[in-house]
Amino acid sequence: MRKKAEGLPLYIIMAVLCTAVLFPVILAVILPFQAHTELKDTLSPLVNFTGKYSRIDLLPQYPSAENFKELLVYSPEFYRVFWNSLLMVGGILLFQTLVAVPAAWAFARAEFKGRRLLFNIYVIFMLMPFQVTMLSQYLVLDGMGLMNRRLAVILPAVFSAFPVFLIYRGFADIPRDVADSARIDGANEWQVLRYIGLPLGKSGILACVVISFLDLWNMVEQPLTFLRDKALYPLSLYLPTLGADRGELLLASAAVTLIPAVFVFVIGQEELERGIIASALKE
Amino acid sequence: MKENMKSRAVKLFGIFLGAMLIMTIVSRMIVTQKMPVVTTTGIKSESIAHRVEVGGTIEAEKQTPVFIAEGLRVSEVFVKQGSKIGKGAHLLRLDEDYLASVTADAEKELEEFMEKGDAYADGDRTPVFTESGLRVSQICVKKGDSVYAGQPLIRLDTDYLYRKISDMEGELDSQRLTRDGMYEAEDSRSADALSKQIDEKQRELDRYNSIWDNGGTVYSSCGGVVTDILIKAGDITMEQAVALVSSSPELSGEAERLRRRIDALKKAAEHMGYINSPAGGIITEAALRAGDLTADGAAFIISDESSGKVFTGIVPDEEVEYLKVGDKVSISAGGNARAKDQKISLMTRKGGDGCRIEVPVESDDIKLGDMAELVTTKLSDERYDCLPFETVTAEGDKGKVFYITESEGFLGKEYTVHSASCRIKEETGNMYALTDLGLTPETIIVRTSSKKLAEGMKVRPE
Amino acid sequence: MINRYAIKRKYRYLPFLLPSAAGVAVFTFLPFADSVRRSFCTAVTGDLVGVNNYKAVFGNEAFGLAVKNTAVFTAVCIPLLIGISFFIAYGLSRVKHIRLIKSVLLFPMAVPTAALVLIWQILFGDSGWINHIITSHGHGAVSFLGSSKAFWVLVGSYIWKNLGYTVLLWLTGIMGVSTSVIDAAKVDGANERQVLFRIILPELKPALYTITIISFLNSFKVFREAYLVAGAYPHKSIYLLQHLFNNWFVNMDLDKMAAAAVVVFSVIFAAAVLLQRVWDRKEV
Repeated sequence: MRKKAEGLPLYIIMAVLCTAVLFPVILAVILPFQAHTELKDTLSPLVNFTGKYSRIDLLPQYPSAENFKELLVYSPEFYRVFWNSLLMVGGILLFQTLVAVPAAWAFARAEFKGRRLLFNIYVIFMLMPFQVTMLSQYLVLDGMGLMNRRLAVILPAVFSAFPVFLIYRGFADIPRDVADSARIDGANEWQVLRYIGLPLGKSGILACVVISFLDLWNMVEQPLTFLRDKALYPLSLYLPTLGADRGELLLASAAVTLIPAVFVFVIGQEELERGIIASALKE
Repeated sequence: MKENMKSRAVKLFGIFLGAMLIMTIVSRMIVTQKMPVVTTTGIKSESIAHRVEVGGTIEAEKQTPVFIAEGLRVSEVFVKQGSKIGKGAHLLRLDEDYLASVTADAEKELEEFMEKGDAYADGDRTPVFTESGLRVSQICVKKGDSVYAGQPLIRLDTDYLYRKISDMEGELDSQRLTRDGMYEAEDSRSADALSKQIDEKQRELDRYNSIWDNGGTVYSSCGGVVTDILIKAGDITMEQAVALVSSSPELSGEAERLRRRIDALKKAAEHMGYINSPAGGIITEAALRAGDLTADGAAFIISDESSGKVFTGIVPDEEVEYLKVGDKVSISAGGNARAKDQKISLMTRKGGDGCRIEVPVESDDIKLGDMAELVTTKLSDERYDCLPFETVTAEGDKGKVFYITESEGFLGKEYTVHSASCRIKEETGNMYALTDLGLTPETIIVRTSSKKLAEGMKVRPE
Repeated sequence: MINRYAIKRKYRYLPFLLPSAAGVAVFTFLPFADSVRRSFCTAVTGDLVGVNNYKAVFGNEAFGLAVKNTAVFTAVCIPLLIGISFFIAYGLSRVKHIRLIKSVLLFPMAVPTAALVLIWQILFGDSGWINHIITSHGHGAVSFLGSSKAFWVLVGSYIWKNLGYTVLLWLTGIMGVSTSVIDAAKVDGANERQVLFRIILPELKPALYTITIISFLNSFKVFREAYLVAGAYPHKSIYLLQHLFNNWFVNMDLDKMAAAAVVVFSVIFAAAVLLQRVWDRKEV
């Protein structure tokens, strides 16, 4: 029996910790609901410092949805970037999965000479920050004539090494015999993947999808480098273009940006955890 | 439970996305509705066509004044201002009797003046001398007469002369005797002195004799006019000149005036008192009426039509900059009478407002005396930014325009409205000519807008 | 028959691999190889200039600064993260109802960076809320983002974001230690500390390895925060390698970029291989 702690001091510490962790997010959700007059105290020192510091009303005195109205009703460009983001992220996720699952399956099941080497190459490139390959990717995309098009962001991300890695972890746990017996029964490799691999590795795939979504919904460097037309920007780039001088709008749109992420998080938290754990257990 | 929560979360997410989709369209619709729709135009750079209209009259190139000697009574006037007359036509008739009496008076006045006053201006006067000590018997000429060189001016008393000569001869004889005696008495000095006297007296005698020889007359030494007689009959001549003759006599101002007046009067009398027109044309000024006394200025001014027609008028100050000598303008005088492309010949500043302008007119339709109008459209040298009326909100001479700038927005091309101010120079055609606009020529200007515009608004161009 | 089978087996998986491998090759591997080539040439003309670019890169002051900063950052934040998260995980392992706490801790990972930029500015800006609190207590205002404290702000945001799954990983590892071993030790009279140090920690080595690698990976992502909050040329204490690359890219200094990319790649590569060797040896 594991001793469960008496708890209270620990609980308090944990409570404090959680509040501290959530504090910025709480701010991000509360502030947009404040009226312009209250937000002025918070935002104007950032724009025009006149000796008064930013003040925050944690509980808004006059909560109002006017910021959201401004954003959601009177700023059609917000929707443009929203759908841009969704389109790009969704597209990437879809094809990423389609490409990575077979590859991960191959890594997990095949035994060929270069497997270890190839896998290591994948891992190495996974580790690199974007900037290392930024230049070379730019040259390739430019050569393909894809600069300033959404595909310039989508394609490199589709062929990323990270999902392969994650899904591989999920497949690696599947015992070999299960698959072998299936093949002896006459199934070809695709069918093995489809009927055995997928169900068993589902959690890994979902984990990968969730993690990728959270990462992609956030992405800044790739669109910044490869996209030039503002009309193509994703939501994650739209937010920085609003400065503190349009802070009300920024807060509102940041709050809206949070929503899909929250949804995905809530829906996929279990898989997320499982995926994280799975990727850690064996190396 | 977790599954439920998850599936609910998934459903919620779906709803969220659906809502976003709907709002996408809705917000676009709303914003588009609120966005003003504008039509645009560009800035034209044009010269201002400024129409200048100046009113005036057609006059003759040459104005002939008619002067009449003053102080005469007018009995009849045959013309008035605006009358058209031919050369030699009767203008007025003077009262002949009055004229005759005035003439007589003038002549008398001149005579008197000549007698007394200083009729001659200072000038070259040659003096005429004669031997002194003789008596003048007669003065042959009078002041003002023309004489030729050698004309007898004064006759001397010959008897007196004869007696003088005899006396002188006697004296000489005795003086000679005396001298001889002195020589004999060896008083050469006295004798020489006396000799001198004798010689002198002899000379004098010779002179007297020469005078006697030519009849005791004093002749003029040169031709000219006798300006002064300085001696009277019966006087004894003296050392000074007896007369003055001027070869180029000038009548003193007063005398001259009198002389001229007499000439004018005589002329007036020539045509039985009628004053006739020296030229054909139109009377532009008639100063006299029957019963008036003629005065100093011109009695009539005649526009001499043979000298050519000229449009004259006054150009107001603000229009002066648009006209200059040599410009081609169009003169029109009522109806269809119009002369195009006439050149401005003269522009002079009249003291006060405006500038007098003259344009010679060659046209058969336009007549002397017509009221006419000078019309011209001048294109300014400078080109001004011109915009149609509807694009500019005008307040006095200041105007405001709205223009559009293009930018890349999240939805594609965005158009933002800005305002700019300018000054209205004037209207030309159906546009305003503006200055101080400060925009590049390619700027797109808002022409009409479906809603009120403000700086910074986003708009949709048609 | 088996041989054929064996051979067939090898190539059977090829089509599985092909799309991904081809894509990776086209978009990542081959271009990088081209970068390597470029690192030996000039940017514009493409002449071979040997190691000139490398010399230029190493001599570049900004590069030195960026490398120093990035290295320092990594060296500071990873141990910090590992340490803090371990303590939290250990504490959590003794507590019930950890589900909520886990969710809370994990949540920052889901929050998009861009959404919080303004919040960071409101809090940490020179005229921000924290300064407000500080000044109203009588102290002078602190410039968080414009001074070397920016470094710590960045470290803080990194830890904030990655605490969740690191704790998770530790927790899994800790929980994975079989209770029977612990109970046996307890019976033998071991106290908490001894249980901790002698039994639990050794079991956590694989977890440590993974955590280190992934933390290392994520430490590069912190550039996003730095860029969004402080711009392309932030305070020099947080001027990272990525800032440098970004600015070189904007200025089209392609040759220097290529050389620097190769350098960075080599360093990371070496580090990864080293780590792997060390761990493998240890495990064996």
